[in-house]
Amino acid sequence: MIQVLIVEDSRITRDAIERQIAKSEKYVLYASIENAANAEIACLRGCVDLILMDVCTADEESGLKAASKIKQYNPKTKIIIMTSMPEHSFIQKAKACGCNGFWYKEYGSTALMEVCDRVMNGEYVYPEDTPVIRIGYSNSTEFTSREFDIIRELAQGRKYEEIAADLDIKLNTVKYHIKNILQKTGYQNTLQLVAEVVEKRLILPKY
Amino acid sequence: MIKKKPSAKMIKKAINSYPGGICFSALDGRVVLVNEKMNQLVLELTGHTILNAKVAWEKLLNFTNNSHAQKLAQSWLPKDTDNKNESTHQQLFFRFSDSSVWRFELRFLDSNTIQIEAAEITELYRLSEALYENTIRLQEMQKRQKSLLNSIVEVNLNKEILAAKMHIHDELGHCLLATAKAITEDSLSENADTLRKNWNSTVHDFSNISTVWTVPDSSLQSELMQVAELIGCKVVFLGEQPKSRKALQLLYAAVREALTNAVRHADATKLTVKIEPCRAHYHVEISDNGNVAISKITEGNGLSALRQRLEQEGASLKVLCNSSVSLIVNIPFDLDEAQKGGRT
Repeated sequence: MIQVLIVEDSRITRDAIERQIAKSEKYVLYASIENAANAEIACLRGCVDLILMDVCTADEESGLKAASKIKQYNPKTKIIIMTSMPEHSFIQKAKACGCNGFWYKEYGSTALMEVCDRVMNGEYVYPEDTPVIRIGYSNSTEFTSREFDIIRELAQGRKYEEIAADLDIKLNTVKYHIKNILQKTGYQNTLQLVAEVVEKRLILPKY
Repeated sequence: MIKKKPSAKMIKKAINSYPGGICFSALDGRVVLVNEKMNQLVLELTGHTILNAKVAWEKLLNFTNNSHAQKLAQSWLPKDTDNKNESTHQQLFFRFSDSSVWRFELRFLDSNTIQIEAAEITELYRLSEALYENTIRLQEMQKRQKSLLNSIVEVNLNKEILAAKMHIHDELGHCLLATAKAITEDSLSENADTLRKNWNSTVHDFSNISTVWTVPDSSLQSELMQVAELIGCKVVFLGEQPKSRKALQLLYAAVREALTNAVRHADATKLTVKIEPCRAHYHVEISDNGNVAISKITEGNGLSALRQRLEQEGASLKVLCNSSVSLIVNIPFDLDEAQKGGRT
């Protein structure tokens, strides 16, 4: 039987996944926790075969950071990242951590257990792209990766000078990108932009 | 060609053509040279032309607003950035009845000479005022951005829970409607199997039958202790734990790191966490019963990351290698006070 660790802070979602595991003949629940920081400990004895890992977990602990640590010591443990957040960088981060799959709770048509089966058969299962979110007059796909970097910095309350220093670019370049972003979206100022981007969960800097 | 020495008349004419006001005087205030503009401005402000520069400056310092002019004291007024020594370099700002804004500046040119200069800065003042207002607005926006970001995860989780609840309500509603329809259409017996199946599935959604252990609550400690027991290591806490959530988060971050290292490297089965309140901080000592004797330790990613996190919050970490490894963590009672520097 495949031992499954669920890391999910929404009780209802956790219960729903537990039930699917309980129904299955191949999988058995090893533990079900809500804080990603405890996942590494749960894997210490090497008993876990598959982790279903939420990204935003209890106490603001990142499932992606936990996955990265677990993969370092338990490369054979398969990890599927689950999220309801359309944050554009999550897929990239999950791939960089070496996670084996990625599943959107609210988007896409693939069932979780199908993703689990494919991952356990050695496949890397990722959605083709992040969900397209409308930000002002633009779609999220119309932003460049540098523009996303700038929006992420703005969402953390950084000043223009700090953004320039963080991204190692000139202050005028920051202003140029912000002007372009505002033109694309039609917003009057960066507060409107950040409010929309964060509300629609396109950027979640803590994770 | 012989250079003609400028006469007093020529000098006076030259400084009178200067658009701002200018006045040179001796240290006792005796006027050496003053132009018409300066006299005109000071006359408007004090009712007298400059007879003694020191007296005139004193009057400007103690100026009370009247119908001719208003003294400006706002913090956003443009100041000379070279002004490092206020005792030898002072500035005053006035708005006249025609809305023009003037900056009066007193400088000690050398040990014998004082210069008072007046310059019109109306446009500069207007722009500075706008810049100040924009800065305040930006600071407000920044605050709102930060608070929005802090609450968004919680809002999203609530949305997620709400969506799941709506799903269950939908399922329940669907069952009720189907049953009501079957009863009214008198087709209950024909659809009995389908209805029973739907009801079973919906009831199953409500039930919380777990075949294995599930975390009972969201407290920081209980989940950590249960996970530790799951891997065969008991965590024992001695002493009173911190009250604030932030301090607890730091404490458990340290306990997690110690637990991970104790099990991974020393196969420990017990981790003891002693907490003692000292003067202004909690003194935490974390030790294990691991079977590996170590005299020296090289900090890896985990310990370094923990040290960084603790120090960012104003706490500290010390690693002791005395046959076994112990972590000493000091967490201030008031973390917000201790947190200095660094961006939030």
